Amino acid sequence: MREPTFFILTALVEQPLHGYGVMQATKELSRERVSLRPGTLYAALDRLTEEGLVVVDREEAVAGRLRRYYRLTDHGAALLAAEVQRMRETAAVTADKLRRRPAVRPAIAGGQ
Amino acid sequence: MSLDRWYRLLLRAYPRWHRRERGTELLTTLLDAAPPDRRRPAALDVLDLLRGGLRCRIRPPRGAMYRLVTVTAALFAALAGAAVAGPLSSYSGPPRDADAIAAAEGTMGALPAGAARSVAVSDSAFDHTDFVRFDYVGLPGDPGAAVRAALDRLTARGWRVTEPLRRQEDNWGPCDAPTCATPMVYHSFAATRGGVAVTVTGAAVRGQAATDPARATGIEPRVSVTVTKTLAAGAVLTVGGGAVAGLAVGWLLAVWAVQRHRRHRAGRRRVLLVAGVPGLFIGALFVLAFGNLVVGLSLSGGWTPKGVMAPAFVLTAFPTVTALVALSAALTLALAALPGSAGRADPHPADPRDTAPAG
Repeated sequence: MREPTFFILTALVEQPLHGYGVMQATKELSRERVSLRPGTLYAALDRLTEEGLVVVDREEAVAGRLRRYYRLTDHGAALLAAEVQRMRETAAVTADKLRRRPAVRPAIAGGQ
Repeated sequence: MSLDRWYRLLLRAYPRWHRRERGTELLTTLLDAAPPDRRRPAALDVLDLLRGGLRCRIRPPRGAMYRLVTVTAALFAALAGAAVAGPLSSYSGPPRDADAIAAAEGTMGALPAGAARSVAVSDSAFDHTDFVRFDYVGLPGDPGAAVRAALDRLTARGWRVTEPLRRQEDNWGPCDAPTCATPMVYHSFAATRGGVAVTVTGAAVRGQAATDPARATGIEPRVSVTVTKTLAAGAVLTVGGGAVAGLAVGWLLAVWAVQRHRRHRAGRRRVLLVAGVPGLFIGALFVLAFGNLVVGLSLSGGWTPKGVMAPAFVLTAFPTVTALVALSAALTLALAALPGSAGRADPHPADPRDTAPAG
Protein backbone atom coordinates (compact mmCIF):
# COMPACT_ATOMS: atom_id res chain seq x y z
CA MET A 1 0.00 0.00 0.00
CA ARG A 2 1.39 3.41 -0.97
CA GLU A 3 1.87 6.02 1.70
CA PRO A 4 -0.85 8.48 0.51
CA THR A 5 -3.38 5.65 0.42
CA PHE A 6 -2.33 4.55 3.90
CA PHE A 7 -2.85 8.04 5.31
CA ILE A 8 -6.15 8.58 3.50
CA LEU A 9 -7.53 5.38 5.03
CA THR A 10 -6.05 6.30 8.40
CA ALA A 11 -7.70 9.72 8.23
CA LEU A 12 -11.10 8.04 7.86
CA VAL A 13 -10.71 5.57 10.73
CA GLU A 14 -12.41 7.67 13.41
CA GLN A 15 -15.02 9.59 11.46
CA PRO A 16 -16.23 10.34 7.95
CA LEU A 17 -14.49 13.32 6.35
CA HIS A 18 -15.05 15.41 3.23
CA GLY A 19 -12.32 15.99 0.64
CA TYR A 20 -10.70 19.01 2.26
CA GLY A 21 -10.93 17.30 5.65
CA VAL A 22 -9.05 14.31 4.24
CA MET A 23 -6.39 16.62 2.82
CA GLN A 24 -5.87 18.30 6.18
CA ALA A 25 -5.89 15.04 8.12
CA THR A 26 -3.34 13.32 5.89
CA LYS A 27 -1.03 16.31 6.17
CA GLU A 28 -1.33 16.28 9.95
CA LEU A 29 -1.03 12.51 10.36
CA SER A 30 2.05 12.36 8.14
CA ARG A 31 3.63 15.35 9.91
CA GLU A 32 3.37 17.28 6.65
CA ARG A 33 5.28 14.66 4.64
CA VAL A 34 2.20 13.82 2.57
CA SER A 35 0.47 16.87 1.15
CA LEU A 36 -2.28 15.79 -1.24
CA ARG A 37 -3.66 18.09 -3.89
CA PRO A 38 -7.32 17.82 -4.89
CA GLY A 39 -6.68 16.12 -8.26
CA THR A 40 -4.51 13.47 -6.64
CA LEU A 41 -6.89 13.06 -3.71
CA TYR A 42 -9.94 12.46 -5.88
CA ALA A 43 -8.06 10.04 -8.13
CA ALA A 44 -7.25 8.08 -4.96
CA LEU A 45 -10.81 8.35 -3.65
CA ASP A 46 -12.16 7.11 -7.02
CA ARG A 47 -9.87 4.11 -6.82
CA LEU A 48 -10.58 3.38 -3.16
CA THR A 49 -14.32 3.64 -3.80
CA GLU A 50 -14.04 1.22 -6.73
CA GLU A 51 -12.14 -1.18 -4.51
CA GLY A 52 -14.79 -0.92 -1.80
CA LEU A 53 -12.40 0.45 0.82
CA VAL A 54 -14.33 3.70 1.30
CA VAL A 55 -17.93 4.73 0.59
CA VAL A 56 -19.82 8.01 0.50
CA ASP A 57 -21.36 8.48 3.95
CA ARG A 58 -23.44 11.60 3.29
CA GLU A 59 -23.57 14.78 1.25
CA GLU A 60 -23.93 18.41 2.24
CA ALA A 61 -24.94 20.84 -0.49
CA VAL A 62 -24.97 24.48 0.60
CA ALA A 63 -24.93 27.60 -1.57
CA GLY A 64 -23.64 25.87 -4.68
CA ARG A 65 -20.98 23.99 -2.76
CA LEU A 66 -21.01 20.22 -2.36
CA ARG A 67 -19.19 18.31 0.34
CA ARG A 68 -19.28 14.53 0.26
CA TYR A 69 -18.19 12.75 3.38
CA TYR A 70 -16.31 9.50 2.94
CA ARG A 71 -16.39 6.64 5.40
CA LEU A 72 -14.00 3.72 5.82
CA THR A 73 -15.72 0.39 5.13
CA ASP A 74 -15.16 -2.74 7.19
CA HIS A 75 -13.19 -4.10 4.25
CA GLY A 76 -11.07 -0.94 4.25
CA ALA A 77 -10.51 -1.16 7.99
CA ALA A 78 -9.46 -4.80 7.71
CA LEU A 79 -7.04 -3.99 4.90
CA LEU A 80 -5.61 -1.09 6.89
CA ALA A 81 -5.19 -3.32 9.96
CA ALA A 82 -3.40 -5.90 7.85
CA GLU A 83 -1.13 -3.19 6.46
CA VAL A 84 -0.35 -1.94 9.98
CA GLN A 85 0.52 -5.48 11.02
CA ARG A 86 2.74 -5.92 7.97
CA MET A 87 4.51 -2.63 8.65
CA ARG A 88 4.93 -3.54 12.32
CA GLU A 89 6.50 -6.88 11.40
CA THR A 90 8.73 -5.27 8.80
CA ALA A 91 9.81 -2.59 11.25
CA ALA A 92 10.48 -5.22 13.93
CA VAL A 93 12.73 -7.19 11.58
CA THR A 94 14.65 -4.06 10.63
CA ALA A 95 14.92 -2.85 14.22
CA ASP A 96 16.18 -6.26 15.28
CA LYS A 97 18.85 -6.14 12.57
CA LEU A 98 19.89 -2.66 13.62
CA ARG A 99 20.13 -3.67 17.28
CA ARG A 100 22.77 -6.21 16.28
CA ARG A 101 24.85 -3.45 14.76
CA PRO A 102 27.03 -2.00 17.56
CA ALA A 103 27.42 1.48 16.14
CA VAL A 104 23.66 2.04 15.94
CA ARG A 105 22.63 0.25 19.15
CA PRO A 106 22.53 3.36 21.37
CA ALA A 107 20.17 5.20 18.99
CA ILE A 108 17.75 2.26 18.66
CA ALA A 109 17.92 1.58 22.36
CA GLY A 110 16.93 5.14 23.11
CA GLY A 111 20.42 6.50 23.70
CA GLN A 112 21.31 4.12 26.50
CA MET B 1 -11.25 36.06 -13.92
CA SER B 2 -12.16 34.81 -10.46
CA LEU B 3 -10.51 31.82 -8.83
CA ASP B 4 -13.81 29.98 -9.09
CA ARG B 5 -13.84 30.51 -12.87
CA TRP B 6 -10.22 29.44 -13.19
CA TYR B 7 -10.95 26.18 -11.43
CA ARG B 8 -14.05 25.54 -13.53
CA LEU B 9 -11.92 26.05 -16.62
CA LEU B 10 -9.28 23.62 -15.37
CA LEU B 11 -11.91 21.03 -14.52
CA ARG B 12 -12.60 20.79 -18.24
CA ALA B 13 -9.52 18.54 -18.27
CA TYR B 14 -11.76 15.85 -16.78
CA PRO B 15 -14.21 13.86 -18.91
CA ARG B 16 -17.77 15.02 -18.80
CA TRP B 17 -19.08 12.00 -16.91
CA HIS B 18 -16.55 12.69 -14.17
CA ARG B 19 -17.38 16.40 -13.99
CA ARG B 20 -21.03 15.49 -13.77
CA GLU B 21 -20.43 13.20 -10.80
CA ARG B 22 -17.57 14.97 -9.06
CA GLY B 23 -17.25 18.47 -10.58
CA THR B 24 -18.92 20.51 -7.83
CA GLU B 25 -17.37 18.45 -5.09
CA LEU B 26 -13.89 18.86 -6.57
CA LEU B 27 -14.48 22.59 -7.07
CA THR B 28 -15.61 22.91 -3.45
CA THR B 29 -12.48 21.16 -2.21
CA LEU B 30 -10.26 23.32 -4.44
CA LEU B 31 -11.86 26.49 -3.07
CA ASP B 32 -11.72 25.18 0.51
CA ALA B 33 -8.02 24.46 0.13
CA ALA B 34 -7.13 27.80 -1.50
CA PRO B 35 -5.74 30.57 0.72
CA PRO B 36 -8.21 33.50 1.08
CA ASP B 37 -6.04 35.89 -0.93
CA ARG B 38 -5.51 33.55 -3.89
CA ARG B 39 -6.76 34.99 -7.19
CA ARG B 40 -5.32 32.46 -9.62
CA PRO B 41 -4.65 28.72 -9.26
CA ALA B 42 -1.20 27.71 -8.04
CA ALA B 43 1.00 26.17 -10.73
CA LEU B 44 1.09 22.88 -8.83
CA ASP B 45 -2.72 22.82 -8.68
CA VAL B 46 -2.87 23.39 -12.44
CA LEU B 47 -0.51 20.48 -13.05
CA ASP B 48 -2.35 18.34 -10.54
CA LEU B 49 -5.72 18.94 -12.21
CA LEU B 50 -4.37 18.42 -15.72
CA ARG B 51 -2.71 15.20 -14.63
CA GLY B 52 -5.84 14.09 -12.79
CA GLY B 53 -7.99 14.77 -15.83
CA LEU B 54 -5.65 12.91 -18.14
CA ARG B 55 -5.45 9.95 -15.76
CA CYS B 56 -9.22 9.88 -15.56
CA ARG B 57 -9.48 9.78 -19.35
CA ILE B 58 -6.91 7.04 -19.88
CA ARG B 59 -7.41 4.76 -16.89
CA PRO B 60 -9.88 1.95 -17.52
CA PRO B 61 -12.17 1.06 -14.63
CA ARG B 62 -11.14 -1.58 -12.17
CA GLY B 63 -11.80 -5.12 -13.38
CA ALA B 64 -9.98 -7.55 -15.65
CA MET B 65 -12.79 -7.56 -18.21
CA TYR B 66 -12.79 -3.77 -18.60
CA ARG B 67 -9.03 -3.79 -19.02
CA LEU B 68 -9.15 -6.64 -21.53
CA VAL B 69 -11.75 -4.76 -23.55
CA THR B 70 -9.66 -1.58 -23.47
CA VAL B 71 -6.44 -3.29 -24.51
CA THR B 72 -8.12 -5.30 -27.28
CA ALA B 73 -9.89 -2.27 -28.71
CA ALA B 74 -6.72 -0.18 -28.56
CA LEU B 75 -4.61 -2.84 -30.28
CA PHE B 76 -7.16 -3.25 -33.05
CA ALA B 77 -7.30 0.52 -33.48
CA ALA B 78 -3.50 0.57 -33.71
CA LEU B 79 -3.65 -2.07 -36.43
CA ALA B 80 -6.33 -0.06 -38.23
CA GLY B 81 -4.28 3.14 -37.88
CA ALA B 82 -1.24 1.43 -39.40
CA ALA B 83 -3.42 -0.06 -42.15
CA VAL B 84 -4.78 3.36 -43.06
CA ALA B 85 -1.35 5.00 -42.92
CA GLY B 86 0.31 2.35 -45.11
CA PRO B 87 -1.44 3.27 -48.37
CA LEU B 88 -0.98 6.97 -47.50
CA SER B 89 2.78 6.57 -47.10
CA SER B 90 5.35 7.26 -49.79
CA TYR B 91 5.99 3.51 -50.09
CA SER B 92 2.55 2.82 -51.48
CA GLY B 93 1.99 2.65 -55.23
CA PRO B 94 4.29 1.74 -58.10
CA PRO B 95 7.36 3.80 -58.96
CA ARG B 96 6.85 6.71 -61.31
CA ASP B 97 6.77 5.78 -65.00
CA ALA B 98 9.84 7.88 -65.74
CA ASP B 99 11.80 6.21 -62.90
CA ALA B 100 10.71 2.72 -63.95
CA ILE B 101 11.54 3.23 -67.62
CA ALA B 102 14.89 4.81 -66.81
CA ALA B 103 15.74 1.95 -64.46
CA ALA B 104 14.85 -0.72 -67.04
CA GLU B 105 16.67 1.09 -69.82
CA GLY B 106 19.73 1.55 -67.60
CA THR B 107 19.65 -2.09 -66.64
CA MET B 108 19.34 -3.63 -70.08
CA GLY B 109 20.73 -0.85 -72.25
CA ALA B 110 17.43 -0.52 -74.09
CA LEU B 111 13.70 -0.74 -73.58
CA PRO B 112 12.08 -4.06 -74.46
CA ALA B 113 10.77 -4.48 -77.95
CA GLY B 114 7.00 -4.14 -78.09
CA ALA B 115 7.03 -2.37 -74.77
CA ALA B 116 3.28 -1.97 -74.69
CA ARG B 117 2.82 -5.73 -74.42
CA SER B 118 5.74 -6.36 -72.17
CA VAL B 119 5.21 -3.90 -69.33
CA ALA B 120 3.12 -4.95 -66.35
CA VAL B 121 2.09 -3.09 -63.22
CA SER B 122 1.03 -5.27 -60.36
CA ASP B 123 1.08 -5.59 -56.61
CA SER B 124 1.94 -8.29 -54.18
CA ALA B 125 -1.04 -9.72 -52.35
CA PHE B 126 0.98 -9.96 -49.15
CA ASP B 127 2.65 -6.62 -48.78
CA HIS B 128 0.84 -4.58 -51.45
CA THR B 129 4.20 -3.73 -52.96
CA ASP B 130 3.34 -2.23 -56.31
CA PHE B 131 5.88 -2.87 -59.01
CA VAL B 132 6.45 -2.38 -62.72
CA ARG B 133 7.86 -5.31 -64.65
CA PHE B 134 9.54 -5.19 -68.05
CA ASP B 135 9.90 -8.51 -69.88
CA TYR B 136 12.65 -8.76 -72.46
CA VAL B 137 12.06 -11.67 -74.87
CA GLY B 138 13.79 -12.68 -78.06
CA LEU B 139 17.18 -11.61 -76.73
CA PRO B 140 20.19 -12.85 -78.67
CA GLY B 141 22.19 -15.38 -76.69
CA ASP B 142 21.81 -16.80 -73.19
CA PRO B 143 19.61 -14.91 -70.66
CA GLY B 144 22.23 -15.69 -67.99
CA ALA B 145 24.81 -13.72 -69.95
CA ALA B 146 22.35 -10.83 -70.32
CA VAL B 147 21.79 -10.79 -66.55
CA ARG B 148 25.54 -10.73 -65.87
CA ALA B 149 25.90 -7.88 -68.36
CA ALA B 150 23.08 -6.00 -66.61
CA LEU B 151 24.85 -6.43 -63.27
CA ASP B 152 28.08 -5.00 -64.71
CA ARG B 153 26.15 -2.15 -66.30
CA LEU B 154 24.36 -1.15 -63.07
CA THR B 155 27.47 -1.52 -60.92
CA ALA B 156 29.36 0.76 -63.27
CA ARG B 157 26.59 3.34 -62.91
CA GLY B 158 26.80 3.38 -59.15
CA TRP B 159 23.92 1.08 -58.23
CA ARG B 160 24.32 -0.81 -54.97
CA VAL B 161 23.85 -4.56 -55.26
CA THR B 162 21.52 -5.74 -52.50
CA GLU B 163 21.24 -9.38 -53.59
CA PRO B 164 24.29 -10.84 -55.39
CA LEU B 165 24.02 -12.72 -58.64
CA ARG B 166 22.88 -16.28 -58.15
CA ARG B 167 22.01 -19.24 -60.34
CA GLN B 168 19.10 -21.47 -59.51
CA GLU B 169 17.64 -24.53 -61.22
CA ASP B 170 14.01 -25.41 -61.03
CA ASN B 171 11.28 -27.12 -62.94
CA TRP B 172 8.49 -25.38 -64.70
CA GLY B 173 5.36 -27.29 -65.45
CA PRO B 174 2.36 -29.05 -64.05
CA CYS B 175 4.36 -31.51 -61.95
CA ASP B 176 7.87 -32.34 -60.84
CA ALA B 177 8.15 -35.57 -62.82
CA PRO B 178 10.77 -35.38 -65.59
CA THR B 179 8.20 -36.37 -68.17
CA CYS B 180 5.86 -33.48 -67.54
CA ALA B 181 8.08 -30.70 -66.14
CA THR B 182 10.40 -28.46 -68.08
CA PRO B 183 13.79 -27.96 -66.42
CA MET B 184 14.60 -24.25 -66.11
CA VAL B 185 17.62 -22.22 -65.08
CA TYR B 186 17.31 -18.79 -63.50
CA HIS B 187 19.92 -16.07 -62.97
CA SER B 188 19.00 -13.17 -60.74
CA PHE B 189 20.27 -10.25 -58.68
CA ALA B 190 18.84 -7.11 -57.09
CA ALA B 191 20.22 -3.58 -56.88
CA THR B 192 19.10 -0.18 -55.69
CA ARG B 193 19.86 3.48 -56.28
CA GLY B 194 18.09 6.74 -55.50
CA GLY B 195 14.91 5.30 -54.02
CA VAL B 196 14.41 2.78 -56.85
CA ALA B 197 15.11 -0.96 -56.62
CA VAL B 198 15.41 -3.42 -59.51
CA THR B 199 15.33 -7.18 -59.46
CA VAL B 200 16.68 -8.74 -62.64
CA THR B 201 15.83 -12.34 -63.47
CA GLY B 202 16.86 -14.30 -66.55
CA ALA B 203 15.02 -17.54 -67.27
CA ALA B 204 15.67 -20.22 -69.88
CA VAL B 205 14.99 -23.89 -70.49
CA ARG B 206 18.09 -25.83 -69.56
CA GLY B 207 19.81 -28.89 -70.92
CA GLN B 208 18.52 -31.05 -73.73
CA ALA B 209 14.96 -29.92 -73.03
CA ALA B 210 15.85 -26.59 -74.66
CA THR B 211 15.95 -28.32 -78.02
CA ASP B 212 12.95 -30.57 -77.37
CA PRO B 213 9.96 -28.97 -79.12
CA ALA B 214 7.56 -31.03 -77.03
CA ARG B 215 8.77 -29.49 -73.78
CA ALA B 216 10.20 -26.09 -74.58
CA THR B 217 7.60 -24.80 -76.99
CA GLY B 218 6.06 -21.60 -75.71
CA ILE B 219 8.76 -21.04 -73.09
CA GLU B 220 10.90 -18.31 -74.52
CA PRO B 221 14.17 -17.32 -72.89
CA ARG B 222 13.58 -13.99 -71.21
CA VAL B 223 14.95 -11.40 -68.81
CA SER B 224 12.51 -9.66 -66.47
CA VAL B 225 13.36 -6.35 -64.85
CA THR B 226 11.10 -5.64 -61.89
CA VAL B 227 11.19 -2.07 -60.60
CA THR B 228 9.91 -1.06 -57.15
CA LYS B 229 10.33 1.85 -54.80
CA THR B 230 12.66 1.39 -51.87
CA LEU B 231 11.32 1.87 -48.39
CA ALA B 232 12.04 5.36 -47.08
CA ALA B 233 12.28 6.23 -43.39
CA GLY B 234 9.32 8.56 -43.91
CA ALA B 235 7.08 5.62 -44.80
CA VAL B 236 8.05 3.77 -41.63
CA LEU B 237 7.39 6.91 -39.60
CA THR B 238 4.02 7.41 -41.30
CA VAL B 239 2.90 3.86 -40.57
CA GLY B 240 4.33 3.96 -37.04
CA GLY B 241 2.60 7.27 -36.46
CA GLY B 242 -0.66 5.78 -37.73
CA ALA B 243 -0.30 2.90 -35.31
CA VAL B 244 0.43 5.17 -32.36
CA ALA B 245 -2.44 7.50 -33.25
CA GLY B 246 -4.77 4.53 -33.63
CA LEU B 247 -3.65 3.12 -30.29
CA ALA B 248 -4.24 6.44 -28.54
CA VAL B 249 -7.66 7.06 -30.10
CA GLY B 250 -8.72 3.44 -29.57
CA TRP B 251 -7.65 3.52 -25.93
CA LEU B 252 -9.45 6.79 -25.19
CA LEU B 253 -12.63 5.67 -26.92
CA ALA B 254 -12.54 2.29 -25.19
CA VAL B 255 -12.11 3.87 -21.75
CA TRP B 256 -14.91 6.30 -22.51
CA ALA B 257 -17.19 3.48 -23.69
CA VAL B 258 -16.57 1.22 -20.69
CA GLN B 259 -17.07 4.15 -18.32
CA ARG B 260 -20.36 4.85 -20.06
CA HIS B 261 -21.22 1.14 -19.93
CA ARG B 262 -20.80 1.14 -16.14
CA ARG B 263 -23.15 4.07 -15.83
CA HIS B 264 -25.98 2.64 -17.91
CA ARG B 265 -28.72 0.55 -16.42
CA ALA B 266 -28.67 -3.24 -16.75
CA GLY B 267 -30.82 -3.42 -19.91
CA ARG B 268 -28.67 -0.93 -21.82
CA ARG B 269 -25.53 -2.66 -20.63
CA ARG B 270 -26.76 -5.94 -22.14
CA VAL B 271 -27.52 -4.24 -25.46
CA LEU B 272 -24.05 -2.72 -25.44
CA LEU B 273 -22.53 -6.14 -24.89
CA VAL B 274 -24.51 -7.64 -27.77
CA ALA B 275 -23.34 -4.83 -30.06
CA GLY B 276 -19.73 -4.72 -28.95
CA VAL B 277 -18.64 -8.27 -28.14
CA PRO B 278 -18.71 -9.61 -31.73
CA GLY B 279 -16.57 -6.73 -32.96
CA LEU B 280 -14.16 -7.13 -30.07
CA PHE B 281 -13.88 -10.86 -30.62
CA ILE B 282 -13.19 -10.53 -34.34
CA GLY B 283 -10.91 -7.57 -33.69
CA ALA B 284 -8.92 -9.71 -31.27
CA LEU B 285 -8.60 -12.38 -33.97
CA PHE B 286 -7.25 -9.77 -36.40
CA VAL B 287 -4.72 -8.62 -33.80
CA LEU B 288 -3.68 -12.22 -33.11
CA ALA B 289 -3.41 -12.95 -36.84
CA PHE B 290 -1.17 -9.93 -37.33
CA GLY B 291 0.92 -10.81 -34.28
CA ASN B 292 1.28 -14.35 -35.57
CA LEU B 293 2.36 -13.03 -38.97
CA VAL B 294 4.96 -10.71 -37.43
CA VAL B 295 6.36 -13.35 -35.08
CA GLY B 296 6.36 -16.05 -37.78
CA LEU B 297 8.15 -13.89 -40.30
CA SER B 298 10.59 -12.59 -37.70
CA LEU B 299 11.54 -16.09 -36.60
CA SER B 300 11.90 -17.34 -40.16
CA GLY B 301 13.97 -14.35 -41.21
CA GLY B 302 11.46 -13.50 -43.89
CA TRP B 303 10.39 -10.19 -42.40
CA THR B 304 11.39 -7.21 -44.51
CA PRO B 305 10.71 -3.51 -44.16
CA LYS B 306 7.98 -4.03 -46.74
CA GLY B 307 6.03 -5.22 -43.72
CA VAL B 308 4.85 -1.65 -43.26
CA MET B 309 2.05 -2.68 -45.64
CA ALA B 310 1.24 -5.85 -43.72
CA PRO B 311 -1.44 -4.21 -41.51
CA ALA B 312 -3.26 -3.09 -44.65
CA PHE B 313 -2.96 -6.61 -46.02
CA VAL B 314 -4.40 -8.18 -42.85
CA LEU B 315 -7.37 -5.82 -42.72
CA THR B 316 -8.14 -5.95 -46.44
CA ALA B 317 -7.79 -9.72 -46.76
CA PHE B 318 -11.38 -10.12 -45.53
CA PRO B 319 -13.01 -6.75 -46.16
CA THR B 320 -16.50 -7.85 -45.12
CA VAL B 321 -15.25 -9.05 -41.76
CA THR B 322 -13.30 -5.83 -41.24
CA ALA B 323 -16.44 -3.87 -42.09
CA LEU B 324 -18.37 -5.88 -39.49
CA VAL B 325 -15.84 -4.93 -36.81
CA ALA B 326 -16.13 -1.27 -37.78
CA LEU B 327 -19.92 -1.51 -37.72
CA SER B 328 -19.88 -3.16 -34.31
CA ALA B 329 -17.56 -0.46 -32.93
CA ALA B 330 -19.65 2.37 -34.36
CA LEU B 331 -22.88 0.86 -33.03
CA THR B 332 -21.36 0.33 -29.58
CA LEU B 333 -20.09 3.89 -29.36
CA ALA B 334 -23.43 5.26 -30.53
CA LEU B 335 -25.33 3.19 -27.96
CA ALA B 336 -22.87 4.15 -25.21
CA ALA B 337 -23.44 7.82 -25.99
CA LEU B 338 -27.21 7.57 -25.56
CA PRO B 339 -28.63 9.35 -22.50
CA GLY B 340 -29.56 7.43 -19.41
CA SER B 341 -27.08 7.22 -16.58
CA ALA B 342 -27.12 5.36 -13.32
CA GLY B 343 -24.17 7.37 -11.96
CA ARG B 344 -24.23 9.63 -8.92
CA ALA B 345 -24.73 13.15 -10.27
CA ASP B 346 -23.87 16.35 -8.49
CA PRO B 347 -27.02 18.12 -7.29
CA HIS B 348 -25.38 21.42 -8.28
CA PRO B 349 -23.04 20.73 -11.19
CA ALA B 350 -20.01 22.99 -11.54
CA ASP B 351 -20.83 23.44 -15.20
CA PRO B 352 -24.53 23.40 -16.19
CA ARG B 353 -23.61 21.72 -19.48
CA ASP B 354 -22.48 18.71 -17.45
CA THR B 355 -26.02 17.97 -16.32
CA ALA B 356 -26.73 16.35 -19.68
CA PRO B 357 -26.06 12.67 -19.15
CA ALA B 358 -24.66 12.12 -22.62
CA GLY B 359 -21.02 12.81 -21.77
